[in-house]
Parts: sequence; structure tokens; C-alpha cells
Amino acid sequence: MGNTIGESAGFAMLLLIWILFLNMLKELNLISTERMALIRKVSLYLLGAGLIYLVLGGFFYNISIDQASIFQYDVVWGYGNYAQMMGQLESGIRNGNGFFSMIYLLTARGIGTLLFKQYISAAFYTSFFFAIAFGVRLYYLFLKAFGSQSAQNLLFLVFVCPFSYKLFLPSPASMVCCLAVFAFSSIHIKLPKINLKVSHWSYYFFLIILTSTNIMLYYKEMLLRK
Amino acid sequence: MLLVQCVYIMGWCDEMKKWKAYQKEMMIFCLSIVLHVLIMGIAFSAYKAQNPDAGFSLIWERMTTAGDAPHYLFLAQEGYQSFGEKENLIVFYPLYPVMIRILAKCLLFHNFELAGILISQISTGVAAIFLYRLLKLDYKEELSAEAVFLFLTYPFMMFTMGVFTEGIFLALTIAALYFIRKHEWVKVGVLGLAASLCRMQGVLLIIPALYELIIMLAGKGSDWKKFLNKRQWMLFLMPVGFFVYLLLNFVKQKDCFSFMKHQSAPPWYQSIQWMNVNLTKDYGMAMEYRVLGYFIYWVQILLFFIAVFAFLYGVHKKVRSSMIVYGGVYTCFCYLSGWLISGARYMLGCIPLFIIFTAIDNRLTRKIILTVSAALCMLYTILFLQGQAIM
Repeated sequence: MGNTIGESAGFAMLLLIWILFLNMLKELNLISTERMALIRKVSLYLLGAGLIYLVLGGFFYNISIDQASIFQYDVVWGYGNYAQMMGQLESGIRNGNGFFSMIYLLTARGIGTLLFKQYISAAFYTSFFFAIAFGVRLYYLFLKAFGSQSAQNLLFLVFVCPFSYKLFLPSPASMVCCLAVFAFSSIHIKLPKINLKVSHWSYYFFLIILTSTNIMLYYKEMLLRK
Repeated sequence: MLLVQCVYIMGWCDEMKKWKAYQKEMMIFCLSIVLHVLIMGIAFSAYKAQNPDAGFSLIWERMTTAGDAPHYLFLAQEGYQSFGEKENLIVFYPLYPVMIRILAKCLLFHNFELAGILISQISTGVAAIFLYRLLKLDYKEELSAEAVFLFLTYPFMMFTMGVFTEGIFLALTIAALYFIRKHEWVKVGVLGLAASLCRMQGVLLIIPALYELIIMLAGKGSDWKKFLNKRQWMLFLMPVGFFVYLLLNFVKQKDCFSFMKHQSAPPWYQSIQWMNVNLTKDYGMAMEYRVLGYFIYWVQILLFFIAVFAFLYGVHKKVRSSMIVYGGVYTCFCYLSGWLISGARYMLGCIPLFIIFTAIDNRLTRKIILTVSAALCMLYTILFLQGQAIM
């Protein structure tokens, strides 16, 4: 419980910093009010989605071992190779392999150093940061190509599709996705304006199938660690 | 003769008019003193029901011996020490002890305790006046008055009554925030300097000041250079107070950062850690020491989340950004402390919370907040008189 309170405090402070940063950009006339409101809305939804994933992870583990509490801090915070690497870093052992892993670990390490050596939390913050940046950029791409309503629907699908939970856990997944979407949007491929018309039936069918698969995979990963 | 009398009466009337302009301010000042007396008086009567032998001297004793009060009095009388048992008192900033010393020696026949209490009481009144003025810049009079009442009945308000730095720090901070809003940069610079000589948090005032200045210049578009002037350079006076304090450390103990060494040692055990570690520790302490949890740890945890929620609400209600930025930075700074036991007291200095209170539209919500605050103020004052660990 104590750790959950502590981590909630950290997330709450980062949320405040992010909102104030957007507000500052608006006041300095660097972005328009509408754009700021949109970024704020999308980023808040994504943050909420990420937090739900974290709570779910602990919850899955708990119900499987017959525990009543909602959140299991140690399981979620210690989950995965990257969290373990960060944990080792807190004990003074450096490691990391692969190009993206290295960049991810370096970023998380930098943030962790700023936060007075809280490396595991920093790994979560890094994943959240890239996931939110990825989501916002992707939303703008969808917005340009398909319009507002379809953009929302598509973004929702992306964030419930299988393995999307990995975006919010310590791993370079969110960073890779973020870099990919930024690279795609920077090469200025003119997306054709598509009038995407998908019936509600098909959309909800896809949504349910994707969510179920995603949750099944997440449950399996949290419980069986594979 | 009659003419002379008329001229005299007219002059007197003019003087009265001048005073009338400050009638509201005088009223708020008196209100601050009256509330202090009332709250302490009622708390004392409650305490007396439990301890019939207690005399009024108890109030004086608590105001001059609780918490860090004896340290400030020692510094005012003896000054900072280079070595020995009291050398660790260098962790306390110099403005307040210096003011006590000057007042006690010049006007109060070496009564240091009375000087400390007078400075605190007067500065709290001044703080309330500037808070009212600050709020009046953006809100209606009724709302501003409510916020002043909330400020004066903050649950840990008893620290503005005795020999503590709360009163003077609040006066300097709120006055600085008021002049930041008015863009009177010379006054901001001087007040910021004094605030950073009073407490470490004082140096944070430079952030809302620079923010307000940059936003003001950005609002002028391409003509921004025309609005730059020499007076704005006075803002850089603000951290000077902190540098003076570092110099004092060097002069007394041959190390600019000797205060950090003392802070990390007993009885303060201070370190800097990200707030997740600190609040986790607070929860652990609240579980281990159940009673202290209600005075210290739970209060700190709750206040943190209330503050962050309030700032987000403030952004939503379009409260002045510079004030919210100050609130955020101040809260973050306070909660970085690795051994936080006075968080609730420090949060009294988080003035943007009172500004955000005025932005609440629902009258009933405001009334409930005010009532709960007043009730807690009374409860904690009684506990303070009992000698409980109200820090």
C-alpha cells in the first residue's frame, strides 16, 4: 500500500508538470489553444490507460494467488528484464544490450539520476512518456487521414491490441513505436484522405477480440512470467 | 482663530481620509490578531478542562519552547557558533533571529521571546493583508475574504503565533507574489532576497517571477524588447539571500555547505529523495506509529494529493499560471525532503492553494472546506498545547 501511495504521488507530480508545461507552451503562443486542449485530452486518456494496465497487472496476479487486494506493487514494479536491470542499477550494476535497449536504458537512467536514483520508477516514467508521445503523434496522423471520430476509434484500437500493455511496462517497445511513428510522419508521405466507414458491428467486434487477446496475453505474462 | 481651527480640522479630515483608504487592511490585521487570541483562548479553555491547574503561562511556554523556537532564541541571543554543541544551529536561516535581536535590543529591553512573538504576530497580519490584496486583483471581495479566513484558520496556524519563521516567511512570500502580479520588479527583488534569507523555500520565488516576466514579454509580441528595463534585473537579487547564507556558512564553519552536513545528521536526518520514496516511508511510519500518523504522516500524504488535485483544478479554472507554477514547485520542493515531519506546516506557505480555493464556484464546497479547516485548526491547537508532536 505504501509503495502504491508513493508511486501514485510520483505519477501525480509528473502529470502536474506535464499539464503546466502544456499550459506554458500555450501562454508563450508556441501552440494554439485548440491544439493544446487536444494534446492534453489525448495524453490524459493515454495516461489513464497506462495506469489501468498497471493496476490490472497487479490485480491479475493477486486473484490468481487468492489475494483480495487490488494492486500488487512488487509484482508490477519488478516485472520484466528491464525492471530487473534497473533494479540492478540501483545496486550499482550496469548492463544493457542492443541498440534500442541501450537508448531506452540510458534515457531511463538519466531520468532516474534526476529523480535521486529511483531507476525502476524512472523506467516506468520513460515508457509512459514514449507511449504518450506515440499515441499523440499517431492520433494526429489518423486525424489527418480519417477525421476526428475515426481517429479516436483507431487510437483506441491501437491501445487495446495484443501486447499494447508492453507500451506502459519497462521495455523499449514504446520508444520503438514512438520513433517509428515520428519517422513516418517526418518523411512527409501524403496520406490520402480516406473516408473510413466501418460499421459499429465490425468495430465493436474487433475491439472485443483485440481486447480479449490482449488481456489473455497480459494475464499469462504476469502470472506465468512468459 | 476660527480660520486656524477650520484649517486644522480640514487637515485632520484629510488624514482620516487617508486612513479610511486603508480601513479594510487595518480590519484584516486586527482580524488576524483577534483570531489568534480567540483560537488560542478557546483551545486553552479546552485544555484547562482536562488540566485544571494549567495557567496562561502555558501558552507563552508553548510559543517559546515548542519545536525550533529555542534554537531561534539562542541564535538571536548568542549568534551562530563555529564549533561546539550548538554549531549545528547553522541550519537555521539568519533573517528571523537577526530581526528578533534588533527588536529585542532596540525596543524591548532584551526581551527576546516577546520580540519573536511580536514579529510573528505582526507579520501574519501583514501576510493576511497582502493575501487579501493579491486575491482582490482577480476575485470578488467576498471570495477574497473567505480565502483570508481559510488562511487564518489553517489547521497548523499556531506556528504563526509563536517563535517560528512561519509568520515572517508568509509575509515576505505573499507580498512578493502580490508584487509579482503587479509587475513591480524592484519590490519583488528585495522581498525575494529577504525571503531567501528567511528559509530555503524563499529562493523558489524567482520561478513565478521569471515566469510572469516571460509571459508578459511574450504577450507583447515582436515589441517585447521595448518592455525590457533595468528594474527587471532586480529579480536576480532574489537568490542573493541564499548566497549570503552560504557565505555565512563559510565564515562561521569554513564550508559553504556545512548546513547540509548538519541537516543530514541527528536530530534532522535530512536527505533529498524523490517523493515516491518519501511518501512510501510516510505510510510505513503512519502504520508503525498510529497516533503520530494522525498528526504528521497521514496529514502529509493527504495534503500532497489535495495539493496536486487543487493545482490541476486551478489549471482547469484558469487560475494565474505563475501562481500554480509556484505552488507546484513549492510542493515538489517540500516533498523532496527525505525525513519530512513538518510537511503540513510547510504547506501553509503554499499560497496558491488559497488562491485556488477562491476559484471554487460552489459556495457550499467553500463553506465545507472552511468549516473543516477551522475545526481541525482548533483540534490541532489543543493538541499543540498538550505538547503533542505537532511539528
